[in-house]
Formats: sequence, C-alpha cells, structure tokens
Amino acid sequence: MQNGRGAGQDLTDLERALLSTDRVTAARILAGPFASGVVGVPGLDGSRVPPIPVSRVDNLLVPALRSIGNAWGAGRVALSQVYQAARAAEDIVGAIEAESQLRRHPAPRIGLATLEDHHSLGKRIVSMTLRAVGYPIRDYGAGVSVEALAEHAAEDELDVLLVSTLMLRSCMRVEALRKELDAFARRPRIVVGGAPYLFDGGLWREVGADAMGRSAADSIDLVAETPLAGAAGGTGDAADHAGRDRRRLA
Amino acid sequence: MTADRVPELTPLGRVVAALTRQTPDRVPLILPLTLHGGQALGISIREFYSDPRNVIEGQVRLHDRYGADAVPGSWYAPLEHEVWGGEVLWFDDGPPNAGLPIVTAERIPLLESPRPEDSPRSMAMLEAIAGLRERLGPDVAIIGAVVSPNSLPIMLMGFEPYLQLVLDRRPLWDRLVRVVEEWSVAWGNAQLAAGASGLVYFDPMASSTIVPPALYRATGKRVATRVIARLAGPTVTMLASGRSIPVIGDLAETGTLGVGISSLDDVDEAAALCRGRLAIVGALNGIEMRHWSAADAEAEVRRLVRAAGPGGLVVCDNHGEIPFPVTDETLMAIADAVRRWGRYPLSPDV
Repeated sequence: MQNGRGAGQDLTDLERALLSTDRVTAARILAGPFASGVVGVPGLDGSRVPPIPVSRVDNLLVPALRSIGNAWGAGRVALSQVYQAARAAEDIVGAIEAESQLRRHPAPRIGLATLEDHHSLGKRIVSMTLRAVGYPIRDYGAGVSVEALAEHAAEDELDVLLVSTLMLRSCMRVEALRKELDAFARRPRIVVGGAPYLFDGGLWREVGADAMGRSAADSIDLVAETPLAGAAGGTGDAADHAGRDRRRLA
Repeated sequence: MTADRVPELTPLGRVVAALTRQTPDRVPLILPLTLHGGQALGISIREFYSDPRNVIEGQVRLHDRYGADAVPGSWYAPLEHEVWGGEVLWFDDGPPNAGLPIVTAERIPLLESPRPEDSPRSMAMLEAIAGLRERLGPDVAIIGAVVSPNSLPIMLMGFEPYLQLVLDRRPLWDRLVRVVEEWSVAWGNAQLAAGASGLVYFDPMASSTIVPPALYRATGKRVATRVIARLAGPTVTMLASGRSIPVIGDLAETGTLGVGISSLDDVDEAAALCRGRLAIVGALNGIEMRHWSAADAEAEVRRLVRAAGPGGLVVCDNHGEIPFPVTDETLMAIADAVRRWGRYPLSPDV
C-alpha cells in the first residue's frame, strides 16, 4: 500500500488521468510517497521533487501506457487519446527528470524515423512514450530515405532501429533497408510499426523486420528486450535476431 | 417458393439502389483503381496523371476489363494538398504522397480558400471526369471525392500540429475548417457539375480509431453536416480504413448515404447498426489482398455479401484505393465473385 492506496488503484487512476490529460493528478500519482511535503504540482510548476526511482516508472507508468496502447489496439480508445497520454507522460517525467535524472543504465542505443513518408504522428507518439519511461532516443525525423537511415544507424552504432510508416509503399521499403543493414558487421534490430502492419499480420516478416509493435507502448517491451552491444549472448547477427524472435513469438 | 429476380439495372442504377437501401439486381462493385491506370497504359503513375487523356483512356480500359459498376473520377490523395500550394512526392512503385506541410497555426487567420479554377491540377481532374462521362455514357457511376475540411488539414498542417489545434485551440480550428469548407464545397460541386455521379467524403478524422466519438460529435460531425448539405449530389463517407462502429449513428445524421467500414470492424455488427440508415461500402482488406488467391477473394466477397448484402452493400476495398501490388488475377476473382454471389435475391448458400 502507498499512501493508503493500492497499487492497482494507482494504476487505474494514472491511466485515467493520462487519458484525460490531467497532468496534475497523473504527476501526483506517479510521484506518490516521494511527493510528500511538496507543495504544488510535482515537477510541473518549478517545485522541487526528490529523485523518483525507475522502478516507480516501471511499476506504474509503463503498465499504464501499455494498457492505453492495448486499448487503442482493441478500439476502446482513440489515437488522439494515446497521443495526449504520451504527451502528458513525457511532460511529467520530463519535469521530474530535471531533478531525478531518470535514465536507464545501461540502455540500448535507439534510433527512430519515419521511412520515406511524412506521416510522423506515430513516430512522435513512440518517441514521447519511450522518453517518458527513461529511454533516450535518436530521432532522425520523417521522410528519411533508406540510404540516409542506414547511414545514421551505422554512425550511431544503434542497437535497435524503430521504423514508423503509414503508407504501404514505405513499409515495403523496409526490405531495402534490411538489405543495407545486413551489410553491417553488427546489424541493429529492426522494429516496425504503422497501420499497414495491423491490416496484414505477416507484413513485418515479409519486409524483413525483426519485430513489429502494434502500438507505441509495445516499443517499451521491444526496446527493453534488445540485447546491448557486448552483452553476453548479445545481438550477434541476423540469424540470432530471427531465432530469438521466433522463440518469442511462438 | 423462389423469389423473383430483380430486373437488371444499369451500373449507376445498381449503385444508387444500394446506397438508398432499395434492392438492386445485384450487389454493386467499386474498384478504386487509381494506381493501376498507368499499368494499363504501360506508363508511370506520374505520367498517367500528367494528362487527363491518359486518365480517361486508362480508366475506360480498367472498366472494360473488370466490369465494375463505378469508375474513380478522383485522382490521388494529395491532389488537394497540391491545389493549396503543397508539394506532391511521386514514386514509381506506389501512390504519390503529400510533401511537407504548408499551413501553420499562425497563418490561419490570414488563410484564404483556393478555387478549383485556380489550379491546373484540379482543372485537369475535372476535365478527366467530363471525358469519362462522355466515353462511358450516362449509365456508369463516376465517383468523385473531397477530403473533409476536418481531415484535409492533416496534410496541410501535419498531423500533430493539427491535432493540437483540434484539442487545444478550438476557435482557431473553427476558423480553419470554415475556410477549408469553402474549398471542399466548391471542389465537390465542380466534380458533380463535370459529370461525377456522387462523391466520397473522405474523413479519417471521423473514425473512432483517430478521435473519440464525443470529440467527433463536437467537431467533424458538425462540419460534415454543413458540407454534405451544401453538396449537390450524394455522398458516401470513407474513414481511410479506420474503425466505424462507434460513430455509425452519428455518420447517418450527417446526411451521407453510406459508410466505408474497416476490415477491423465486425461486419455483422456494422451491418446491424447500419440497417435502415446507411449502406455499407467496403470492406475488402486491401493490404492482405496482395496475397489473395482466387478462392480467398471469393470467400471474402461471400463473407461481406452474407453479412451486409441484405441491408445495402457496395463491395469495395476498405481504404478507397486498391494498393499497387494487387494483381489482375485477384481483381478478376473479386469481380467474378460479386457477379456470382451478389445477385438478389441472395442465395441461401452465400
């Protein structure tokens, strides 16, 4: 129990507050016992907030965002609400971060782009979601070509590359991206997301991705399970990725 | 006792009967082959749309081949963005895409609506509609399209800035959509005057995939009701493959005749909600369609006809544009299945 409230109740209330963009309530729930003695809105009005452990983000914010993402996938909430929730979460954690330096150590090197497509809202929501839970992102923007994206991935030695697309043609371009990345000594994991993948459950495999996210919240787990460079049993090569994903998806 | 067959109708008569929830002779078929016309002529999509004569020839050939009841009079999705001053990005292997946004929130107070006659691109599309009407005669439906004033700003502004406007700056949003409305009404009526039989009112922002129904009621529904009342012809509302079920009742109140449902929607539930109020347009899954066998195509058509045929159905894809990689064999199989299983009275075996 925290402050006389159950963790389950906190989660429900946080989800509701995020969906209604009630940042004040969401921030208070997230700060929880760490907010005691703080006057005003934790972190959002210049008030000082003690460091909040990543575990509190993991135990409350991550499940709340995951639940909202699942609700969108099931048609129970709209994309505008997912966007608002992610924006609120990013604002809150961004404000808290100034005090707590919320950062995941170690964290995979994550790249994100909208591939040959200017429909960038999905990428934006993924970016806000991951930042809100403590993952730094290299955002390469929208309308990025296959060649440019491969160059970014090489320069930044990415562990995982998140590729957002809305147009079917752009999804199909992931195939060319995969070929470019296969030339790397150590290829980043390719995670795709976007509407066409929802309409054809096999499309992500068809284009050579390693995994797909059905919602922005899926990116949290997909990033978390990405092995880091040099880690035991690390990323290795494409076959290693494919084998792991086959096991995970079986 | 065997029910009598309904006398044969013209393709246009068939579409009108289905949309007005009368019983046609068979379920009408629309194949929005906006991307395949270039293939039919052996030229690129960009070259295809560079000259209205190409569009007329290509669409007539596609109509002759598949025998659909309607041909698309509309061109590519970002054409309206282009008329407003935006860039169109062309690809050889897929549909053109809208380039970077051109309208900022700061510009909205000064924004003025273009007129169809201001742009050679809109005029070329009108010329193609008139040419199609001349070539196809009065009996074939030609379907034009307008992007809803509540959805066009996604292209004009970019999705996130527009969403922020809808969510946080409603007076400025209202100013924007009222300017865009003038364009949409003029553009839709110009297509009807050129020979279009009706219009798709393309409104992804109406879908509960994008905004909650309560927000749609406060925004896009009011816009749609105003615009559809000013259009001089029938409309069908398409949601760009987004979910429709939570807003079917609202869509019916906008004055539209049909709704494009999503392949994510439960077609039985959608049909029950639409019955007596709206015809169903859809909902073949255009993305999966790339891999369909003839048997898959037939099964999908039968599933739709079984669920929605009794209440008013037009078979179409769920997005309003058949993807480029869909093959001739699949399109033929869809057309054959509609002719076989769509005849009224519907077969109990469907």
